[in-house]
Amino acid sequence: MDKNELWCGTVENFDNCSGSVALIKIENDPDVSEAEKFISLTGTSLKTVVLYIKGKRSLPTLLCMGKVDLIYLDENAEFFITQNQIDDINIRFLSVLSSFINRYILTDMIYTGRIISGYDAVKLGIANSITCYPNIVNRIKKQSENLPFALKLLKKISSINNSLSEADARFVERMAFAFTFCSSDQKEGMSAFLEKRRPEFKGK
Amino acid sequence: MSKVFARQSKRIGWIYVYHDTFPNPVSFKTLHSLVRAFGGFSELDVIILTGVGKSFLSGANISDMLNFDYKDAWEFSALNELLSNTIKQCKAITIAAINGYCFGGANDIALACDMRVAGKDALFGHTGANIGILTGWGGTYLLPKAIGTKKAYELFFSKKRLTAQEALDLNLINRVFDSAHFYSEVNQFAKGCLQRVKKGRALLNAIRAI
Repeated sequence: MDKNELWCGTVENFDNCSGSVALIKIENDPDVSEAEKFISLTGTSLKTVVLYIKGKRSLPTLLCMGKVDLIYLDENAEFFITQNQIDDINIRFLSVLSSFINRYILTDMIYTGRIISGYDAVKLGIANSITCYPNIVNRIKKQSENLPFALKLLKKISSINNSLSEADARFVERMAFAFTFCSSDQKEGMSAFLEKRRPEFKGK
Repeated sequence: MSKVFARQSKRIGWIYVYHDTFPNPVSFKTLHSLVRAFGGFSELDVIILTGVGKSFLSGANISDMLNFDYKDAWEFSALNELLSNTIKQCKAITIAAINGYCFGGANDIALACDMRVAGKDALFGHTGANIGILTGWGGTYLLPKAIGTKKAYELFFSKKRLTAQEALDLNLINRVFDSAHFYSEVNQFAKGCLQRVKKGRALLNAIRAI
């Protein structure tokens, strides 16, 4: 079972991740093959994956952003797709990119080379916010302590629901909601709420 | 104990949820009453859902839910789905008028409406994970559609509370009104929607199908 703790690392060593929350710092674009491996790992993982991105980043970093949960940016972060990288874009990559970038913006990036600033990325919902690295480490460290089982479930069903119709997504959510009532964390969370104390989740 | 009051003013139906315990928790009974109220007003032009007091609605009553088993949870979630479907099938434009606290499943009920407006003092949060559960009322589908997957996950993960202005910036709500004149501004807003869209119903169905 995962420990409820923060693991800090890079895209390249994500497969060694221990802990239920992973904070990945990207300062240089990874190889496209590393990005592909990262997408498949994060796409199936129950861990909460957080990216912190610095500087001017292109296609491989954009791909890494597709399946993660939270994205924080350095104030100088920018995103673009180079002309050379356009040939690398296949249907699978397009589906990853269009899962978090509005298709009109994506078309603009591909056809005109539009550069998206960090501030625009936040405004467009591509990233969560702009902050400095030490701040984000402290914030995520605090939030990753004491994570309930429900959050792992939520991550999984959010990614499934993304590709379902509303009726199917509601059915999946209802099953997951009912399932949390079989967890010890539900009893602990609600008891703690009523007793006005901090819950002690076991993650199961 | 919760009560649902409904009143009609010309072609606008108002549905008020009152609970004697802050912050307006939703029970099986409340959900049944809401289904009936929305169903009863279905043929009007606009339906406005709001709370009485300092809270719009919150999620379920925690003391009721503490001893829920799998079956109770399933039924509670299914009942909310019935409410969402009833709201969706209304021929009227549905507006959630969020006058105060809007937590947990209340967000999901608000998101089931066509539009959301809030008073300046409104506060939003999706803090189900904090009590060991997740939203079972459509939030994992509706919230990412409204504000994007990353922002939605941040709300679930961080237990963050959003002010009305922050909710507006995230597109979670459509307008923020002065709390002192909230209901009259909501009324004006509803009348404005009616004047602007004469062919309301056909267009509304098309928008809901997107």
